Amino acid sequence: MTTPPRQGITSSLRLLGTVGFILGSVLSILGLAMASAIVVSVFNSEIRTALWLTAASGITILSGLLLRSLAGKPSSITIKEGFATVGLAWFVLALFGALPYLLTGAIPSFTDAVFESTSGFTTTGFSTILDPGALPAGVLYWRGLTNWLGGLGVVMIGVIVLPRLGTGGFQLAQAETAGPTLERLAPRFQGTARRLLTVYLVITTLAIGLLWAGDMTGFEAVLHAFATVATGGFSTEPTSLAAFSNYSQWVVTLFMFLSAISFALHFRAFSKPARYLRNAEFRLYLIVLAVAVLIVIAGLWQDHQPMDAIRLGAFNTISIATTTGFTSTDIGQWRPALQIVLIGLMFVGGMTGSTAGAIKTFRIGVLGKAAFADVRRVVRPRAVFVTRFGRETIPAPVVEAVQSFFLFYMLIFMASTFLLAFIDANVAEAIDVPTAANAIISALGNVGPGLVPASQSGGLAGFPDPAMWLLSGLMILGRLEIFPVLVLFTRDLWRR
Amino acid sequence: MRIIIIGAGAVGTYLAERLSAEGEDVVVIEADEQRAAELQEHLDALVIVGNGASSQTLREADVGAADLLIAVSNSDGANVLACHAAKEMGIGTTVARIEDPELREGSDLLGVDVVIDPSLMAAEELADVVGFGGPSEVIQFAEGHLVMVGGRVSATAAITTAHLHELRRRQDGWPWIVAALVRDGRTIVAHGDSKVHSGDHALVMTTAENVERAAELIGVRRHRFERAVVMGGTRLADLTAGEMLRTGLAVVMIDDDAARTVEFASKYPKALIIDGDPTNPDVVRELELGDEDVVLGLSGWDEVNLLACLIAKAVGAGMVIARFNRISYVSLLAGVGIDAAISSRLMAAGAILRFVRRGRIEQVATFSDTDAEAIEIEVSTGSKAVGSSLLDLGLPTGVIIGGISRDGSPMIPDGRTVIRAGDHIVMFALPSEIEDSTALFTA
Repeated sequence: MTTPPRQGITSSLRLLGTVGFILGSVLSILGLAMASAIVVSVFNSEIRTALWLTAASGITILSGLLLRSLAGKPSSITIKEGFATVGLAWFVLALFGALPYLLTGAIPSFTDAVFESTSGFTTTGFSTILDPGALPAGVLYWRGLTNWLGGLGVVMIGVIVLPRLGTGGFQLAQAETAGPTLERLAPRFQGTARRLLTVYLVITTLAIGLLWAGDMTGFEAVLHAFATVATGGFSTEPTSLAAFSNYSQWVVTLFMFLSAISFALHFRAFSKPARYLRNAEFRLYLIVLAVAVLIVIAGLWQDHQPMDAIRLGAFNTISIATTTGFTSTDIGQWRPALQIVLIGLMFVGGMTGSTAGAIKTFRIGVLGKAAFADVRRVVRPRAVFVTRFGRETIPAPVVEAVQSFFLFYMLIFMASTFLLAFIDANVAEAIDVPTAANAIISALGNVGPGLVPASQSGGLAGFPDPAMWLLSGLMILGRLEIFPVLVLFTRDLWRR
Repeated sequence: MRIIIIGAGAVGTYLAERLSAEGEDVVVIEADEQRAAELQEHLDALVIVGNGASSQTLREADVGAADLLIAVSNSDGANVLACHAAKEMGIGTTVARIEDPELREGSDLLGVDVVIDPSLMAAEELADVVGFGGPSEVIQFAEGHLVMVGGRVSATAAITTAHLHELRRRQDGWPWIVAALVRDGRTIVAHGDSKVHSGDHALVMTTAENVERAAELIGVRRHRFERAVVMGGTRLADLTAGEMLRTGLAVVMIDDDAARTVEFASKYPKALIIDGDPTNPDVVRELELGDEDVVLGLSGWDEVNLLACLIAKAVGAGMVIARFNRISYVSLLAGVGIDAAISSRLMAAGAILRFVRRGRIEQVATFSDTDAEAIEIEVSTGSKAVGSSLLDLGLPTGVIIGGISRDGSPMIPDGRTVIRAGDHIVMFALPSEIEDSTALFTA
C-alpha cells in the first residue's frame, strides 16, 4: 500500500529539483551578465562600485552554481516544471538583480532596490531613482541591462545558452513568452530561440547606431536602445526623452513601434515584407495605433505648433501603446479626454511575441470576435460560430483561455487598485484613487511612468513600502501574463 | 473488352454488374473473402480474392492482357498503386477513384489516366440541379442544340391530361417528345399511347430554345433559389456547401456532430452552421424555410436524409433533394415526397460507364433512377439505318430516337423521318438494347 502524502512530497521534491537546476543555471548566466557591469565601472574609474559589483556578480554566480549542483541535471522537463521554473525564477531573479543597487549603495532601501530590479526585468520602467544620471555608470548600465534582458526573457536567454534541454526549452520559453502559443521558426526549439535573439540583437544594434548618430553619447545611446527595444522605458535623465533632441525622439518612436511587433513576424517578414500586412494581428496593432495617434494629435493641435503636436502625439501615444513608458512631456497636463485614450491603450499593449506588455492585440482581437459571436448566438441559439482571427480559426480552448486571462487581468486590476488605496489610506494618504488605478494598470501592463503625477521617475516617491511590494508583484504577474504565477498556487502543479 | 475492377464496394459492384450484363469480360479483385464470395454468386465474372494493389494479384488477373483497369476501392493510395503497377504491366487505360485533392495532383505521373471522385462529382451535379431550379436533368446533346429536360411531373401539369399522341397534336408549334418515364422504379420508354402520371420522372427531348416550355409541360416550376440548406456532415455535404457558396447562394449547414460543425464553421465563414439534428422539426422550423430554399439531405444515413427532406418539404422548402447510399432507393423514393434523389456512387459509376463507352459513341448520359442511357451517335456511312425511316427501322420497344441534329440544325423526329449518314442521333435505350441498337447506326 502506498501512502498518498508521501507521494505528494516526492512529487514536489522532484519538481523542485528540476526548478532548482534550471534556476541555478539561469542565475549563473545572470551573474555573468552582471559581470559586464564591472567592466563599465572600471572604464569609468569607479573602483569602489566595481568592487561591489564584483561581489554582487560573484554571489549570484556562486548561488547559481550551488543550486545547480544541489539539484542535479533533470532528465527532461515537463510543462508543469516549465511553468513552475519560470514562475519562481522571476521572483528569484528580481531579488538577485537588486544586489548591485544594494551593495553599491545606489539604492539603500531593500524595498526600493527590489522594486527597481523588478521594474527593470519586467520592462516596466517605473523608477525610485530621482536622478538616474547621478548613479555610478556601472549601476546605471546594470539598470539598463535588466530592461534589455527582461525584454526577450531571462529564461529564454538561458535556454539559448544552456546545453540541450530537448523539448524542455520549449516548455520554459512557452511559459515565459507573451501570447497563447509560441511560434516555431526552426525545427529545434533552440534554433527558434536563437533566431529570436538574432532579431533582438539586430534591432538593438540598429537603435544604438541611430541614436548615437544624434545628440546622445555612446553610453546614453546604448542604454536608451536597451530600454526602447525591450519596451522598458528606463532613461538616464529625470525628464526622460524630453532631455534629448527631436531626432532622438523620432528614432525612439520608430524603434518602440518595431519592438512591439512580434519578433517571429519580423524574422519571417525579413525575406518577404508583404507578410507583415498579411498578419491579422499586425493589421489590428497598426489600426489601434494609427487611430490612437491621430486622436491624440488632433487633441494637441489647438495648443501646439503642428510639428510639435505630431511629434508629441506620436511619441507619447506610441510609448504608452507599446508599454514602453518613455515620456517627452508632462502628459498629466494634457486634456482629460486624451489621457483617457492613453489609459485605454495601457490595457491593449503590443503584439504577442513582442517585448510589449499588457493584454496584447491578439487577445483584444479574439475577445472582440468572440463577443460578437456571442451576440449573434443570442438570436441563433443552435448556430455554431467559431472565433476567427484573420484567416485562422482560434480553437475554443484558446478563446476560453483568452477570456479567462482577460477576466483575471481585470479582477487583479480592480482588486489591486482597491488594495493600494487601502494601504495608502492607512499609511501615507498620499495617493488619490485615479493615481492608484493608474499606477496599478501601469505596473500590471508593464507600461511604467506615463500618467502618474509628475510623470517622471520620482513619481512613486510618496508610495509607502507595502505599495511598492504590491506593484513589484503586479509587474511580474503582468510580465508572465498571470497564469505562470497563478499556477504556483494550484495543487495540480505540486501533486502528481 | 477485358476490364479489371478493383474493389467490390457499391461502385465496383454496380459497374461489374452493368459491364458484365453488356457482355464485357470483367475481372473483379476484392480483398474481403466473404464479399467476393457473395459477388461471385450472382455475377458472371471472375472474382479474385486479394489485394488489388499487389502486383502478384494483378498478374493473377492477367492485367497485361486487359484494356481497362478501374480502381475503385476505398483507399486512394491502393487505387493509385494499382494503376501504377498495372501501367507497368502494360494495361491500356487506368481509372482511379481518388478523394484527396492533393493526391489527385500529379496522379498522371503515377500511371492514373482518369481520376474519379464520386463525392466531388455528386457535389457538382447537385450544384447543376440547384442551378436548374426545378428540372432534375438538363442535358445537352449535339453541341447544345438538343436538350433533354427531366423532372418530376406535378399533379397540375398539362402532360397528365391525355395520352401522348393526343397531346402531341394539342401542343403543336414547338418540337418535343417524351423519351421515357420512370415510375415506381421502372423505366417506360414512351409511346404514342403512353400516359404520363403525376409523380412520374419524365424525360422530355426538345431543342435548346424550348427548355422552359418543356419544363412547363411536365409541370416543373422553375425556382430561383436564394439559399441552400445542406444537412449532414459527410464529405459530400462539405463539398456541396462549397459549390453552393461558389454559385452565390446563401448556405446553411446542419449537423449534430459538434466537432464537424466547428470544422465547417472554420472552413466556410460565410455559411451559417447549425449544430442540431436535421430530423428534429424544431431545428428545421427555425430556418423559416420557404419557396426560395433548396434543402439537400446529404448525411451518411439514407433514413436520416429521407426524413430530413420530408420534414423540410412539409415546412415549406421549395425543393428537397436526398442522397441515398442504397442505389435502389434512388429510383424508388424520388417523387415520394422528395423532388430528387442522388447517389454519389451511381454518379461515379455513370462517369466510368461514359468513359468506357467513349469512342464509337459521341456522348452518353446516365440517370440516377434508371439504368437506361441517353446516347448520342454519329450515323456512319454504310450503316444499316442509313436511308430508312424510323418506322421501317423497326426499333425495339426499349429504344426511342429522341432527337436528330442534321448539319447543325436540330429536330425532333417522328416515324417518317429518314436517317441520313452524318446525322447525330440522340437515342434513349434500356441497357439490354444499347449494344444492338448502337450497332444499327454504327456498323
